[in-house]
Amino acid sequence: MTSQAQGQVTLPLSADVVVIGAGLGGLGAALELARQGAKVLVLEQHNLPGGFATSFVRGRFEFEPSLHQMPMPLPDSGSVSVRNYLLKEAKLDLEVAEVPEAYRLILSESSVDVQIPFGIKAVIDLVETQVPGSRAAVTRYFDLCREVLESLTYLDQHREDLNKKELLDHHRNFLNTGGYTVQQVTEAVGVPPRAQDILYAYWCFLCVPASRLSFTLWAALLYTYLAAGAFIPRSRSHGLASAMVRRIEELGGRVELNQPVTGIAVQCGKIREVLTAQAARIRTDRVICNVSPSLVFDRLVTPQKEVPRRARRLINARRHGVSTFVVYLGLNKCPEELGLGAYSCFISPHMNTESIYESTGRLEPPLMQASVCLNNTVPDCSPPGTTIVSLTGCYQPHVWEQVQAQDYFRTKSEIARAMICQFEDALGVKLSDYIEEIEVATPVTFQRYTGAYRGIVYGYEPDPWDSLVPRALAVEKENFFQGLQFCGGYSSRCHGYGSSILSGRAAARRTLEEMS
Amino acid sequence: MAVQVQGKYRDLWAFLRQPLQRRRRIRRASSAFLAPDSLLRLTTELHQKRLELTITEVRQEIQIARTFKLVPAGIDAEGRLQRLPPFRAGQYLSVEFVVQGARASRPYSICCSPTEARQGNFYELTVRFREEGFVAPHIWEQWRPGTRVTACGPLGQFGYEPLRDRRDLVFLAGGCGITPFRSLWRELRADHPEISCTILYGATGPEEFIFREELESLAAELPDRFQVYFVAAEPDPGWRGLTGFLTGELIHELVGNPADKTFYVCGPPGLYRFLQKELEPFELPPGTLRQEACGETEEVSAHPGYPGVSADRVFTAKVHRGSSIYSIPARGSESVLIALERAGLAPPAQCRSGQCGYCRSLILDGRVYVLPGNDGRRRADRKFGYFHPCSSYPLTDLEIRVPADPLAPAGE
Repeated sequence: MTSQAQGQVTLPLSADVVVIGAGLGGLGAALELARQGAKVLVLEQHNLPGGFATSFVRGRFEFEPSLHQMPMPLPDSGSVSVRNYLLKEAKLDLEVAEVPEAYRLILSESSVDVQIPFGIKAVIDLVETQVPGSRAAVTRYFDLCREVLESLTYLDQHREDLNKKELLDHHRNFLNTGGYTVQQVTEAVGVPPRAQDILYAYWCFLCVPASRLSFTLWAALLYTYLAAGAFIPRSRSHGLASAMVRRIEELGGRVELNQPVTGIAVQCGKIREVLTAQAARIRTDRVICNVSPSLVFDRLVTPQKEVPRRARRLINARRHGVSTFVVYLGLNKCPEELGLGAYSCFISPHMNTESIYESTGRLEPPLMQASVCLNNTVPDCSPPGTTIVSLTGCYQPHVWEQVQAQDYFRTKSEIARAMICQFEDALGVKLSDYIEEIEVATPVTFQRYTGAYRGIVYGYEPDPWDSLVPRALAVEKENFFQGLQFCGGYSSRCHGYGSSILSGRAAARRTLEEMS
Repeated sequence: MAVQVQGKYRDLWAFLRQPLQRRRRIRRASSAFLAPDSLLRLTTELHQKRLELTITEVRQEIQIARTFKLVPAGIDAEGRLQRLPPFRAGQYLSVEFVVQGARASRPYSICCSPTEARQGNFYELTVRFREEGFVAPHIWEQWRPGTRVTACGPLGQFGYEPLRDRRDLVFLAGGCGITPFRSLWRELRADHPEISCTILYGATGPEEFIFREELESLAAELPDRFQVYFVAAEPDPGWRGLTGFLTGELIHELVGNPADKTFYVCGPPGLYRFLQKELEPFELPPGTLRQEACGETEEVSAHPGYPGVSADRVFTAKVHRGSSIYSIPARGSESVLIALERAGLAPPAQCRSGQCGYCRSLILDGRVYVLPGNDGRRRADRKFGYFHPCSSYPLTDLEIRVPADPLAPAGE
């Protein structure tokens, strides 16, 4: 028994589809495949599913590692809703909680301190009180964002039978703004600068300067969240990942943890096998990768000569997004005692996204932080009389590469201290006296657990040429291997929780089409 | 209402040219291979998946404890010894063993300071001999200068955290639980002049105090910052120090007002149970009592909540791993992890105290007793039936699913 049991774990010899990576994209893909009856095997290198969507326990607290809001369904809209997909279609055993308000935004140098509610009308009213005379322009802005979202929904539904006349006649504003950046369009609509500042808070979910960020993506994100509201899984993101795994298994799929993939064997441009670190070879014609294409083309596809030069050029042309730095605090006072009223609070000296982005390229405390007080959405996420707060900042991938191992703990601690101070100063509250548990995650931490290439959390940066529409149009053309699809933050829908899950579903559907 | 950004035709062109722009950018990009992931260099240096170490020195501290000095066994590309990962004082290594044909792991606190470890590129571990232990006799017999040792780490959250802890620290150590504290006091002495620290060290008899001389000179050299008390439970007649146990009364007498202090506990499982009661009247705010993960308990049936199954019963565990199913014996008195290790089926394990979650597995059928102090399960894991075999004891026959060990030798 002893000797035969040791070592290699037996994996299936073949699968209809192998999904590499059990991040939300990979799990989303596996869920859809299993729902449609395909024989799917998910291989994950870590001992937990979920990728960044996970959780960890310290003392009495179970912390949420990431910014994990997902948009609620938009009423009267045909747009795909991740919530409906998970709960109604896929029937996950998942409890969710609705975030009570959009965000509090504190810009210390611009003397902005506002709490933004959900609901477009309420937002317009609030911005008007802050920036008198802004109503007309802000209303125009949201109308435009809504139109962009409607057009994206139209494109999504008519991928096969796209009608150019229909597009030109009824989706003109989408076309007119689709080639531009956020800054170009926002200014053209005439939104006053101070109102722009207030509306840009969600910017840190994308972290590309407004002068480069695709307006289409931004409009869809801003409108969906503000109009519909947001939700989070009640038992942290690990609750979401676990519910997805359970459902995949119930439907006959398999999720194998602790199984790093070392290669995707390709022959004449066609997928043949998936190779694992434990020397298993799984025969399959189809692979869905929840992994950076940079890693797949550069490291996983074997033999390397199968990778066309164009695939290399593609990964070199794209710009990598940021990684994150998070301070997790378990506090021994309740939110009321601490004076924490909002769920999300964005803090920055100003809303100059150029300068904030530039600061993410330096090894210093981030200018802008996105903080979350989890108890203000899930009151019982920690024991009575305690609070969970997390403070998130962003770094470009090259920043932490310069840190020497012997300076790592000190650097981490200094930045964490500065972020706590920034939070305390901005809100006029005290956290540091009530810290019962503290943990700090750096890009190194995220890479350690998820294996993310260069610790990147935000996929490729969505410049206009590499945003939703160009990515979606290029899916076929940039499919260099027969049977290979991508999902997750690097894929067609860009990064984010909801986008990753839906990108997995889309990759699964393309794969199922190929199979039939 | 029509929105125009730069004019009707230019706007449409801006949209239509995107695929062209994309193609042009791709065409102009380099087709070179990606540069090596430089963050991975740092991540690997900090969190090596597995450390190969060589013992260079063995020091007999007291009759029943030895300190082992370990250096990297591997050579880097330039022919130098590899750099050992830095660590925080209080962290441990999870050392791997093959005993009687079965793979097992044990956590041992690093007992040298982070600074000296970095300067000299070594770690020190102090191990207490235990005749009845599973691996301690093995260490005693096998570990000599030149012996190769495999470990994971450094790992763990025990230690001083300036952003969280008070400036007045109290160390409560029992037996070989002194080891992480040695790393801590060495670091605090050198790098944290703002900290003062009272060390209470309990052991059976005077001959069982490890690092006694070092502690005595620490207290003598820096009396304002370090107070050290040795407490012997069963001293011989010549003992002039304190006697008895680390009772609440004694602790209160020696450290004074417990408010605004952070307490740290490390020792055998019995010490945790004892101190929990003794410290109750102090009403320490949660978080100011820090306990090192204590490993598997010696006597699960001694736990007040244990539901009275005779602990010497042997159950059967049906174990699913990958596509295979095994049937193995699982003693009521031993953690499920030990049963898995005896059968060569163990998932990776590190803390062995229910905290780190590396051995996370799924219960398909049956019931286990989870040690209440060692229950680090996530909320969703409880709901979906996942458990940590290292802190769970079988109460019935079991059917479980365990993950692979990613570090197990391939194709064995």
